[in-house]
Amino acid sequence: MIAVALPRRAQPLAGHRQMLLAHARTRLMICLLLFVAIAGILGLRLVDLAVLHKNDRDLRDAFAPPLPPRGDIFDRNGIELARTFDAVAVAVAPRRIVGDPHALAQSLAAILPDKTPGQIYFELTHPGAFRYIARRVLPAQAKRINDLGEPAITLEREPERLYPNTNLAAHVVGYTDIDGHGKYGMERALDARLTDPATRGKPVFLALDSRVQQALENELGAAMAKFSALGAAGIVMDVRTGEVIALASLPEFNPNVAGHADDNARFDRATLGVYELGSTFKTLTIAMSLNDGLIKSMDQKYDATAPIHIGRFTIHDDRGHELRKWATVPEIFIHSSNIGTAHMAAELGSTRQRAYLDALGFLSPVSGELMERGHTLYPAANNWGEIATMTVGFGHGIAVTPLHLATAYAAVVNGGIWHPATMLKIEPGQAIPGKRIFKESTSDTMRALLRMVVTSGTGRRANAPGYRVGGKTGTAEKQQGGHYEKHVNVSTFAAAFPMDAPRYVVIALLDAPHGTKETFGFSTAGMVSAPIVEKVVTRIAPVLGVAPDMVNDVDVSGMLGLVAKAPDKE
Amino acid sequence: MKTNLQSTVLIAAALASAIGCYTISLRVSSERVGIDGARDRIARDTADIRLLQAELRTRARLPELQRWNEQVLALAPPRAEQLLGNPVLLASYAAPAAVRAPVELAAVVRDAPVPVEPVRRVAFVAPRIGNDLSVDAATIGTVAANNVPATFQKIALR
Repeated sequence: MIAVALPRRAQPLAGHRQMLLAHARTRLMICLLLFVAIAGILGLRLVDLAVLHKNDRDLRDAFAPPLPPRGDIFDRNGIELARTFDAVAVAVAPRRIVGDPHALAQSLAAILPDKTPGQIYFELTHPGAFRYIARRVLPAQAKRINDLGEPAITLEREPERLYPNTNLAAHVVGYTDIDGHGKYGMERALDARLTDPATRGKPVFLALDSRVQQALENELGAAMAKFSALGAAGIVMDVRTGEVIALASLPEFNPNVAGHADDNARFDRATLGVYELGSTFKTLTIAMSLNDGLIKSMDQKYDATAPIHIGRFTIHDDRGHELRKWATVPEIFIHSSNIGTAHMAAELGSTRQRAYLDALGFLSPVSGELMERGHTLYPAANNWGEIATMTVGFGHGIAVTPLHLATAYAAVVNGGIWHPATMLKIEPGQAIPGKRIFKESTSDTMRALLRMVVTSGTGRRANAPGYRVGGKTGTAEKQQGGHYEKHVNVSTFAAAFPMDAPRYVVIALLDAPHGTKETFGFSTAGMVSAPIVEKVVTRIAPVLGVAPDMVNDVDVSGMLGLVAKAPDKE
Repeated sequence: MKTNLQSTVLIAAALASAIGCYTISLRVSSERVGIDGARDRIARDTADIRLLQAELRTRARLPELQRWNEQVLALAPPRAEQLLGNPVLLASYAAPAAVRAPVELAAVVRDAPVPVEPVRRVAFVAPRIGNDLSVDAATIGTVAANNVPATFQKIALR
């Protein structure tokens, strides 16, 4: 018999069992709390991401393109004017060449179309330790060069600045040096902004409109060639904001190869060149006299009977076009009488003239961001006597840049407010700096006078049908070697359109033009510069949204009634 | 028995949740790799787009277009009278030149049969314009020779 004794089942004590149960419950509770806590943390994080970090730039910019090494430059409509790309420099260490330099030169020349095998062979066999074969090579070409497997050839990444429009607006956009630092134009003026990592990701929008710029450059170029001028300058400016819509200086250069350009081409005639702009200043003198209440009505007469002899100077009107009478204000303006304007300026006095010219910015370098700014030339304060006041009154003895004139004309026609010129686009709603110089009524009268010069005066060749152009001619003899050249002119036409509600000022200047058969041998502004304005306005007005009006025009009949006979001269 | 089943279920549940979590983690990491790839692609494509834009701009640069226009196309800017501000101007611009319909009148002379030159009169027939001029496409019925009404599209308003 086998006796089997079942092990006695251990009976837990009542207290022990309860203790275990309590432990288990505690653990369970801790676990539960842990889960709740984790779920809570996850929930909070979700809320954090969804609500608090909703506009987090990091999240949105995760897909943003990488920063360019230098900011892009666009025109006001987003046309690329300057961009930077990754390019490669191909260099060689001639002493370490393994293969045959002849064969290597041949295969490199096949990849680099703008290099001849001879040029490449010269670099490959140069005694120096390090030579560049080509700079700014495209990545695709660089890859093919790399595939040649020559250990002496090294490829180095470098940024390439490209100006896709080549010569267009070269003086405004400017260029950089080989190391990517701005050297000219807006590239130089905005160098800090274009290279700062915080700002270079966003392109700079210039005030320029490429289409207007092209029209201006093209028409100036055509006139320059036609009249064999040394140079030309032109500006289109928005009178309400001071934005420079186009600024051209000819001859021009290609900023992609700026090193090939000569100094004459690099010289910006619109902002760096200072010229005596002649009769275009008469507009300002009359506006000043009107504004100060010296001209009380348009039929007020000034003595234009005889030349003024003052000191050793004689102020006379152009031969064959003397008024020889007491002339009304419109007569003086439309006939461009130096004598009449001189009397007007003398009445105004040097103090007020100087104050006005200072307020219009003529006594300081021109406004605007460009750093290529010429110093204006004007009589010293202690030498600004009656003679100087008279000559400055008709634009002699003071030399300013065409951009100075554009800002002043904008103030004359826009209701009297002077805005500094700016090369940067002004966004809608952005504050526009400005100061009042002339009264609204002065501006109204000046608009009619300027319109009259184009309808019935010296500026008839600028009359673009339908666009109500107004303006003033200015022909000044050019100073060369300290004396005035009798037959070498600087011919300027300063205009604005449409004259009933001016939107744009247009300046066209030709440096030393020669008369042709078509202009009867004259090289005066009315003959050579006014037609440029007519052509430019016809081309740019539709682009700028200025509607032509063949029916309505500025009423100049009241003023025309004060003019004895329409002039036929400059 | 009951305890065994419970622990089996527990183990299975833990395993399932572990596998589930791992799958999610795997998916997240693969998504992340995908996003990195997309980011690289976007960067590359952006660079390519920039390059293409620059190439297009260089080929279609304004001085070049001007050269083409001077040598081949010879397009001129629109004259002021070609830019029309409203449909009435459009209608009058697009209207054909007035139709000339010579009317011949014969004069009968009773007494002396003297041959006379017939008197010629020219009648100008103005085009009949529809009443509703505010519509964009102004339809103009013309009293032209064949009397077919012509439809004109708005061309260059403003």
